[in-house]
Amino acid sequence: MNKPLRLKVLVLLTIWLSVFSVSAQEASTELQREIQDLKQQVLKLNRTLFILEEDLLFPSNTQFSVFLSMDSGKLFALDAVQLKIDNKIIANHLYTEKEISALKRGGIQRLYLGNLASGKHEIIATFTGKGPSERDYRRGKAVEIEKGSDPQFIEFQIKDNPSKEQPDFNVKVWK
Amino acid sequence: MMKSPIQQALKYLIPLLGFAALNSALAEDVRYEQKIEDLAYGVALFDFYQDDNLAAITAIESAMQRNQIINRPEDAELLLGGLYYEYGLENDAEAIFNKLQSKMLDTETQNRVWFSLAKLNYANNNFPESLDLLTRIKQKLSPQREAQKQYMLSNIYLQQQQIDQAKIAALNIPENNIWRAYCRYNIGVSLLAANDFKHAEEWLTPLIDQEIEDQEIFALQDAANLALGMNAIKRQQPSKAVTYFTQIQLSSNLSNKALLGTGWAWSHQDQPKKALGYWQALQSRGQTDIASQEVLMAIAQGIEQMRNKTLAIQVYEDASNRYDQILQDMNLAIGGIQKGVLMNTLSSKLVVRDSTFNILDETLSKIPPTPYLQPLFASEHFQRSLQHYQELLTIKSTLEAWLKNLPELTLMLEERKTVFEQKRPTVDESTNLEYLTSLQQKRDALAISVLTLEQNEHSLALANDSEKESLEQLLLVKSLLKQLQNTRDLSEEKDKYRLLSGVLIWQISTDFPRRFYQIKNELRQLNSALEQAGLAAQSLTAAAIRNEEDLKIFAQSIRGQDELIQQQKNRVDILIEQQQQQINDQAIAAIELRKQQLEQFRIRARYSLALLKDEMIRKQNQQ
Repeated sequence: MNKPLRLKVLVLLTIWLSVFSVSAQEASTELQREIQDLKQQVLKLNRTLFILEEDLLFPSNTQFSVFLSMDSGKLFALDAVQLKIDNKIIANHLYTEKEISALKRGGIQRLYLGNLASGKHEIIATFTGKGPSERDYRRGKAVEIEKGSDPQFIEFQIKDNPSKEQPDFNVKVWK
Repeated sequence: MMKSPIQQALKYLIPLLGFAALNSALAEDVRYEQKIEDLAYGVALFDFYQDDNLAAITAIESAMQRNQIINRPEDAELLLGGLYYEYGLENDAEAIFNKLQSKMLDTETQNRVWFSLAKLNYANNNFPESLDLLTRIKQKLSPQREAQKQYMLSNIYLQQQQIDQAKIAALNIPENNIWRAYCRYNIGVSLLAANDFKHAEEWLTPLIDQEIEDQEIFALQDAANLALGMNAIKRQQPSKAVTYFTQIQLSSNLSNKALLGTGWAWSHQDQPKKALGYWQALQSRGQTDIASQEVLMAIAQGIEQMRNKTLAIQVYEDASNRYDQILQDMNLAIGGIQKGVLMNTLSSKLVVRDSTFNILDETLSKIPPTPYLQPLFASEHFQRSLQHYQELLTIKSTLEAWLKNLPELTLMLEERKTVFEQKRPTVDESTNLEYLTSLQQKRDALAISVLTLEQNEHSLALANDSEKESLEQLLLVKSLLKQLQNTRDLSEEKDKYRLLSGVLIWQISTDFPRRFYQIKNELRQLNSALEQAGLAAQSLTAAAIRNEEDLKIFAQSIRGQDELIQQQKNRVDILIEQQQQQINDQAIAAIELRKQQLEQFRIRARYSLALLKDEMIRKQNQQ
């Protein structure tokens, strides 16, 4: 192939490649647009169904939720939590590294969502893990609540207590 | 001939500009930034920190719709904006940040809004807008955000060719912060690109000398050494190049380029034997990256430089044949991708379910196309494609879960309807207005009686059963006394009657205030009980109406959802296929690019071979 011909072929190839590249890019942009649109639709659908499911399965007058939060967790490495209502086990949870990291970064876990009749109830959370000096650690925290006709939210909090060199287990009843 | 390695190196190095920023989230750790004052906000964070953006967005949007974000709604909106961005909904994210911007916010929140908007604009290459937003922030941000702010400023100034401003911004970042290292690297590489080797060296040396045990720092140091080394070769300073190349860790993924570059540096100093030592070391690694392919040519050139032309001809021929073989392997790899090898491996090795993608290289190392795809794996656009693919898979599994749950929800709704219908008679009875009205009428009649009693002080009306019996007996006695008064003297009986009657009436009369108080108290209790019954009936009626309305709303909400979910599921199936195709196309394009580079090597090898053969023939003819 002589030089001018090679150049011609090269120019044509370049044009063809650029046309191909533009149309490939357009297709890619169109696909991204479609994915974005789908995401928006699915988010809307998911929200509707999520609210429907919760309202249907857990009506507000009986709804009861237990949450868990923790701070830096230097004095207590959480492994598992067991939750009891009126001495009946309602939830057990074993933690993954990702969940622990999410808790340490400020996330709050919804440990339990269920229904509870009006009146007095005792909630006990038992925490197991490693305490100071890597020793096995097991602690329970109890709280008595008076369930009314509004949804009830309880938050168990694990906090380091540097002055005591021990973890503290607190409970907050949200109004 | 020497341009090739430099071009190769810069091609891999320059994308590092802004690399770290593009990979950091808009929504960040809040632990030390602000107190969490809404449970729903904390729950959304919990999902977000586990890379479950869909769940996090759903949690926060639902909480907003139910007015559960009460204390710090702007925090929730900022988080939602960040989540939208992470989820690829940039327009929605921008809309939220712009909406927040127009609100009257406290300074700290306002700064966070500007920072988020600046980051979004920065990621979209809208540098002037980003700069404007960043310079609006007058107060210091949290340490991590402040470092990122200075990093973005430094890069924007670099992009605007304001190198002194870029340096000032970089030096505002604390010494040991990783963002400062990135700034140093970016500024240094920019200076090299501007042929200002002296300042580039001054700027990169502190980074190279930094003694921190951190993989990211090590990677930046290796990259800086490679950039300086390649540039030294370009400036005909091969001995300096050797110094930089030899500082690159052997375990680094840049070490192949360093070995190749060191060889070129020695070759430039007319020491082909030393050059061959490095190149053969690289060849013996048996890898398939671009440097390991280029070295085949380099070895031949080194032998030629040693004037062993017969051997050089053989090595050029071997190199050319090897390139043929690699090109065939690449075609096979493309065939494999077209048959789904890459996507199958990605799915089976769970790579697409791990949003960090750190395991990409290791996980895929066993499949044939991988060696040619490593630069692609590291590229932002490929990781974005993979992220979209993963998000589509998550959407698909979410929709499948809803399709599975929907019959349960319908069943639950039917159950609640049945229970409501069963309880309706009791509810109707309890809220029966006629019954309540009759009770109220009875109470009113009783109240009138009590009032009459009080006004007339009719104490005998409050006699108890035994007293009433005694009073009745006394009346009987009185009547008998009247009947018998003419038969005999009844004075004694009459006295006894008067005495007993007087005692009884006196007892009842003196106890009247206590008895009357008791009656009034009972009436008060009755009033209260009736009031409560009325309220309970009202509440029950309202609850029944509400429940009936709720059941209707639930029924409406459920109706047609299965069809809607199915429609979206069909749509997601199509998009998954298209996204797979896009990933395959990207992979094939990357291999095609490598093929072009390899073809260049092959042409060079064949050309050198032809020249050598011509020379040999010429010499033979001369002899």
